[in-house]
Amino acid sequence: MSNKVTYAEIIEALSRETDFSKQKSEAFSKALIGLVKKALEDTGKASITNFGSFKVKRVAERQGQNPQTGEPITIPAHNRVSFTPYKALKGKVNAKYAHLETELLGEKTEQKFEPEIPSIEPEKKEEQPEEKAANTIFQFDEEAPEEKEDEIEEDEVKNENPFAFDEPEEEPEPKEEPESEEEIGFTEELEEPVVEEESNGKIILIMTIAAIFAVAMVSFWWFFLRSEVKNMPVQQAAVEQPKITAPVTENESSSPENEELESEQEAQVIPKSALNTEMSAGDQETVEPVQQAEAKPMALSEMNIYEVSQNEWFWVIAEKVYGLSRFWPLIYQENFSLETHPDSLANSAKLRVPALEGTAQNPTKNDYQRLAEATALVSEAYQKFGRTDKAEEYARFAKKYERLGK
Amino acid sequence: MTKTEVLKSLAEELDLTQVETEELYDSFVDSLTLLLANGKGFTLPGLGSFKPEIRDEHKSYNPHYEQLMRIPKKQVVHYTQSTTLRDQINEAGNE
Repeated sequence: MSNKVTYAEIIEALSRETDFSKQKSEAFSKALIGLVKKALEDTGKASITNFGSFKVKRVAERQGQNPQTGEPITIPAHNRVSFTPYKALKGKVNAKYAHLETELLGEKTEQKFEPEIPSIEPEKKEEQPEEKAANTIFQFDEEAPEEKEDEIEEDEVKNENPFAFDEPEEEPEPKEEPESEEEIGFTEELEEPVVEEESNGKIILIMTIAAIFAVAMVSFWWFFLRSEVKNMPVQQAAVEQPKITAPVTENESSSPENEELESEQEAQVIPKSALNTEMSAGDQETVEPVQQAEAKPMALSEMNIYEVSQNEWFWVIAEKVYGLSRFWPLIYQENFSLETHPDSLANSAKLRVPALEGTAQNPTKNDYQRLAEATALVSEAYQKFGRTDKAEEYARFAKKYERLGK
Repeated sequence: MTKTEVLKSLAEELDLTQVETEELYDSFVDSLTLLLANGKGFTLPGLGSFKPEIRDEHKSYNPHYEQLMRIPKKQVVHYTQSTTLRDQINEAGNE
């Protein structure tokens, strides 16, 4: 079935609805379209009330590619008509998805993220037996209701088994680490329901699954913490080798920042970056020892190296490194000059990441001043590459940061 | 140009009363809206074609508030200008 309706069909429907002849209906729509066209040519805008408005827009000259040969071609500046539907039309067309809402994605912090895991997972487990029960009801519709109950109970027992298989793999870990207070708390909880299970059945069964799952999550969490702790001494050992006093303090002060990074991947990056930091710090010392001595109290010399992975751009990196995306101009300022487009970033390039004096959530005035400078530079760069809109935007940011820095 | 102005000039051109023209106008717009709401596209000769399109959920960035947003899936009207209209507009613009 075609999703297109011909013009003739529209005219036919119109004449049916209004009892005018087809000729009259067509004359009407022709006249209306003619009016819109005339208005567009004369004034550059037109509207069909309750439907939408049309506007002539100027498209600037740009570089394009011949899709067949890949040859670069210049598309000259031209006019085009754009259409904006009225709100009523928009709403009607989008009726199917009207219940969906735009969602803000805030920054995830560790404190928010951790407690979510145990709370969500038990809920999921609670839902599953119910779903199974529903399935069995559908399957055994024709059979006697007494049998149904039996089936459900059997199913739940079966349900338990896969979990029982999973748990022994995870449980030995917490036993190896008796230091954790939280785990002791959880295991106590775990023992009580196990005793009651025989007497009370279903609900207790679900509770135990939930509790066991919580313990498993906590042990996982602990495991990651421990692996990060293991990495720490390695970093410090590497730092001590060159016997330079400055880098030791640098790395120690930068490692708390690294701790903030959550995921495994980032944890793997840390040792590399720590080594790189050492290298760059050593280089800087030989080249500019005087400058560094001056800069030290400002904490400007503290650097990290970040390796760009695929499809990352500045503000994503800044969010990973600082926790807030708006600090990205600092990275740009540190690594590039006006010659580089702020939106271009090569894969696997190594970027120097300047450290902040304060934290991302609570920057000092000096941080804001540096950010203002860097943002102004980004604005200039955008201006240079013809992105006036972005240039203005970042000029505005720069002013804001400058005010905050005073 | 307001709707009344449009109706007036249309009524003159078609030799109809303004009430009749309004009736035509409203049912014309209603039928177009109904078509788009039901997922049908159409072409108005000399003006362009309209068709409802599904825009997938995507993430976007509000530069002013510096926040990442998830924009939900939605259906929008997509308009393609007709080639004759494009040529006319560009001729007028270059003169």
